[in-house]
Amino acid sequence: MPSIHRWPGWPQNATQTSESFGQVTGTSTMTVITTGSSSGTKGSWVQLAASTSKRTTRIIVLIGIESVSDIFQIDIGTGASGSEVVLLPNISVGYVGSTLSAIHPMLYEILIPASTRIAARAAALNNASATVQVSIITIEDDA
Amino acid sequence: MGDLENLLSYTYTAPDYVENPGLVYPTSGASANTKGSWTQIIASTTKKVVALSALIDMYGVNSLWDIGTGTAGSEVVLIANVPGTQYAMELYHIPILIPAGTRVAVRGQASTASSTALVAVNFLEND
Repeated sequence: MPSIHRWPGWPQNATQTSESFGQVTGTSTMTVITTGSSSGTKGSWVQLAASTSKRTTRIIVLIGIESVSDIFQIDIGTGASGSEVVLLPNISVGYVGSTLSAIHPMLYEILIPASTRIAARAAALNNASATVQVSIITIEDDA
Repeated sequence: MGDLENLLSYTYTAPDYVENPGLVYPTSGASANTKGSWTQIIASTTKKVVALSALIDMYGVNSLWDIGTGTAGSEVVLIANVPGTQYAMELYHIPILIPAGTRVAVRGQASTASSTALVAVNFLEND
């Protein structure tokens, strides 16, 4: 009999599914997001998910730096277009590379209701209008 | 769902067994950016899977990988389009439940046709 205790991340009584948003199957890449028009400022929100199917209990944020050596800060937000609210602020990644050299997967344990729109926006600390690739995988259940 | 049921649904059990079926080498589709055939990772998980750690290594191309469950020829995508990149091995920790006795397979697409990846999955399991 395994030990039982509260350890976030290991639910026992749910049937889980996942959804993936932001991957671009036509190029085998992810959604390109442009940072703000001046360094250190956030760009516009870009939709990743129009509507999640079920309640999300975990979200994996996948960030790929493709062309600029910099520190990027990504916000994940929820809400209707133009009314997004930041859910995960300033997810920070940095890399020296080119041509989508590495992906940074970040796992967050957080509840997001079903039928939620999810978007992302980004800033680069030392560059204006740089690009970064973002997608998400949501782990969902029926509760 | 009532409060008690909701609380019970959040009773957690730690994994106590890690199953590593070894490396597999799936090939992407015969055309660029199309999915290839399923490659079996494990014929049958020993216990209930509570999370998996997946290593994807494909050099020089962009790629997206599906992890699926079910019998050969009837696989159902469980986790869609997990990305790989050009010059790095990607390691993913994905906490998702998979019943004991489940066959798990992988298939992928890449920006260059018929590209072969190295995929290694550890299944974190308990009873």
